[in-house]
Amino acid sequence: MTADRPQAAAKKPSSPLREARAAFARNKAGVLGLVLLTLVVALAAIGPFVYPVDPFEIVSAPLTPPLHDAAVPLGSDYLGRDLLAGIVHGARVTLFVGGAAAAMTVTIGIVIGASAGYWGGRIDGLLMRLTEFFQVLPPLLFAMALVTLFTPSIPIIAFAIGLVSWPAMARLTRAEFLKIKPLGYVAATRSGGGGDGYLIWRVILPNAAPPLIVSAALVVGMAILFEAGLSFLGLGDPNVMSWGLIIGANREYIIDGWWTVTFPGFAVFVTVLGLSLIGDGLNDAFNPNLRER
Amino acid sequence: MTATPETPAAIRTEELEVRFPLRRRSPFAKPAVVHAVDGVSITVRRGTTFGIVGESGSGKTTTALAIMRLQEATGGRIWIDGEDITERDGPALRELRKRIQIIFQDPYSSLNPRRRVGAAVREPLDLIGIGDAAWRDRHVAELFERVGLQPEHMSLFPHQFSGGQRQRIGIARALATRPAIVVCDEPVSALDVAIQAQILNLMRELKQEFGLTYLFISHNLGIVQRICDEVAVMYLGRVVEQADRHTLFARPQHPYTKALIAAVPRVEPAGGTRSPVRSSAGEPPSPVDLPPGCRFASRCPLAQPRCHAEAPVLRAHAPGHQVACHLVD
Amino acid sequence: MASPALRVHDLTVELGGVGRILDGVSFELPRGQTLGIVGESGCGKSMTALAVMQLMPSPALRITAGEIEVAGESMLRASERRRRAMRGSELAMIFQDPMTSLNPLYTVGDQIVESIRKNEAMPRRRAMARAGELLGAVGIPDPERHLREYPHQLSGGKRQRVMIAMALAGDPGLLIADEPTTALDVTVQAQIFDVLRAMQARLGTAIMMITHDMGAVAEMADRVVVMYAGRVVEEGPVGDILTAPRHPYTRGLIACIPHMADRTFDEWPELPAIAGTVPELADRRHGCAFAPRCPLADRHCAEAAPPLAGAPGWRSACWKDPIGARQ
Repeated sequence: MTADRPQAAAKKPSSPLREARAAFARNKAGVLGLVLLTLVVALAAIGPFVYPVDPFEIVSAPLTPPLHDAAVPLGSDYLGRDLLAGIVHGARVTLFVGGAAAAMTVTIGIVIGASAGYWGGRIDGLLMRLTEFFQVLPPLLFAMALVTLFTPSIPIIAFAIGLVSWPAMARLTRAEFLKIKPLGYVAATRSGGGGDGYLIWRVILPNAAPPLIVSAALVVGMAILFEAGLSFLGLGDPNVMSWGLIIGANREYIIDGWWTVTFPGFAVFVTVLGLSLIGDGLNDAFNPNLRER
Repeated sequence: MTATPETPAAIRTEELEVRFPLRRRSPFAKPAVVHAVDGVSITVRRGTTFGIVGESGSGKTTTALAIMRLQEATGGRIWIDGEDITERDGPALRELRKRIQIIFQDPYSSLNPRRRVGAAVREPLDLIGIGDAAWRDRHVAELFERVGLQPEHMSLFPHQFSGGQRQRIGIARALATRPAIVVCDEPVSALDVAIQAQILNLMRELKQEFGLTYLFISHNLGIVQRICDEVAVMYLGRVVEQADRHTLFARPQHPYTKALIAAVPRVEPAGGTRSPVRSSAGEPPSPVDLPPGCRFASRCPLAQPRCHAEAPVLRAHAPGHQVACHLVD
Repeated sequence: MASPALRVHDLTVELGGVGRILDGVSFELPRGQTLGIVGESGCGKSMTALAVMQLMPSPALRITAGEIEVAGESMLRASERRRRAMRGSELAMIFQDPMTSLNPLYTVGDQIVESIRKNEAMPRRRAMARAGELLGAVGIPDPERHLREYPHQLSGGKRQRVMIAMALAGDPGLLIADEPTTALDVTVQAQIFDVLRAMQARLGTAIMMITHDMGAVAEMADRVVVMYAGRVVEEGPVGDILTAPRHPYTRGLIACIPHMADRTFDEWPELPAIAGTVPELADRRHGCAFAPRCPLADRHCAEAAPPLAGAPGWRSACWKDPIGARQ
């Protein structure tokens, strides 16, 4: 009992955000995830300048194993293109697709989930039926259909992934809104003159944010996997180098040239692992029940 | 009721009603409705403290929220300072919020955990647009001192305060817009007794200093007996008895009021002797699909056949004393 | 003479590195009696209960001294297995919020049956019949129907009755009730008190009741332990303490309860209050912990902690108490 009492005497303002940050810093796995992601982002940002080899140019014999030719340190693919160049130049596209799809997921999910949870009643019923409609469509097939309808291009792929992934985010947002809306401080803000928009964006959403942020980090990872999957099925944009494209293009040579699939696969793995660890770390940091004293 | 007083009442309601539809169990079921507040008419005179007492489920908090326009009334009318505010919205409703504010029961959930408490107290001023930025800051700092906190506390977050201190912040927030009427929804029932007295004393000082009118919602008859001028007893959405404090506690008429008063533990300095068994039987029935007749009949030791068949109306028993019971003249 | 239902001697609980949450707490609860433990939040009431149950909420909390005996048997020296067996058969606990202590996924009947069969092997059908009897005994009408209901279908008062029925399933000699009626309405509170009194009269169960409400103590208890900042500051028979409290904290607690008065008041009176709040664990210093809030305190009070003194049976820890401690 005593130990749970708030520190009334404390003089320094300790914001919930600052405490979460400190808790995250203590979480080793989360910090590792952050390091991994930073490496990938750095690769995407400066890699192409440090290693300006055109990933589409044929620079070596097809399927050169790694460490055999100084021109292609990680080996070459079935056409003789530099794998390292593919990984370095593909990072940007991969991250872009992940980020854009996650942004779309979060935007649609929050707008729909918040509206449903805040207004409830008929609006809730309508929006939730819509959400369920999208949720029961098989996401991969739906995304494939969307991509084939238009010409496969990176923005279309990001759009397709975003469009199939928002229902989970919408449900989570709605659940958080339903939990927070009846709390006293929402009514208190309303009695202080707060309107609907203020309550939704400035009061409820910031308090609902922690699980949404965690979920968003995981959505980025999922979108990257999704893009790899679409490219693997040959539905990627063939004119833009991405990790998924390398894996997809070389899938028939997996026996003769394991490295063509392994290295880009490893890059995907590291990125998704990093995002996943960050998501877990954030989850622990935001959840005071799991925080040690 | 027909005489028009010179100054309008601070709060007046007439046949106030709040119904909640319940989700239907099956598509064929009749839609069920909860009558949370069912025809409540009260008049709160300026400068007084009006108490509403009752058990949980009596509708006392819903009544308060409906008067605050935080809960939509499904029937009846509400006047604040003589103005009908039942259908106000938009800027007119915001203007009303300057004049009537609320203190909530739970000091732990009534403050936004992500907002510094100074900003929380200032928020109504920002939202309603009172004063300029410098004045607001000064005013909030003064309020903090007035409720017994220090201005340095303004930059802290709610979790750094004890329950009593949070309730002081809640009071400061309610007073920020300088309202004339404050609705107090069980403002001390979540606090330790020693802290309850501190908060009630603060509320008493503020009432005198600012000439406030309080609508005080409570289930604690000991507190109500001390601080309220007028008391309405609610049971399952209806007022069953209403009188000034002296009359209500000295000569309660409704069997429910009597049971409530009898159930309060007494600290008897004589000691040693325990009060005999005197609990009223049972618990309130479900507020869904209430039977006809008096709502208290199922628990009433005096219930007659008539009580189960016909609902009693609230009528004058003596001047200023109204009772809704068939067995009381 | 038989050993008391509960004996707590010099119990000290430390929160690693911060300080003592309980500091030398001693009291006895004879069989079949009721002991009220009162104090504000943060005074160590609930910690005392959890220590007796050996259900410490955090590994950072350690019992560093003292002894706890339930019916003469040490809780501290018992094996974890023995403690599990004792909980239920020797001592049981009910909580402020019965909803959080009941499993929402099982019916009331299932949960009572489980606590019956934990203490005594019997066929399910017989246990269910006994569960029905228990529900009837705690005053739940139509027990057969309620056995099949889930916790959320019950009112707060009925849930607390179910908790009492579960606690009494193993016929323990000691029932710990942690703020059992704080969340309930007054009329329901009075009913729960009646149930507890009736059970005590029938089964001879000793009750340790934790509360911040002196009114509840006056109603229920034979003896009172008043705690402040982890220590016992006054301990004695309820009648004596309510009539002539010796510790200023006890006086303050009694004075500031807005109990029903026999007369009504002319205007909103200034209520007697205890200024300030219970000190944080980290802020506790030498001397009497109550001194900063005490109207009688002088320099001596701030320097040395008063011992719990006086005749056995009614003791207080105050330098200003003429019967107890002497300067």
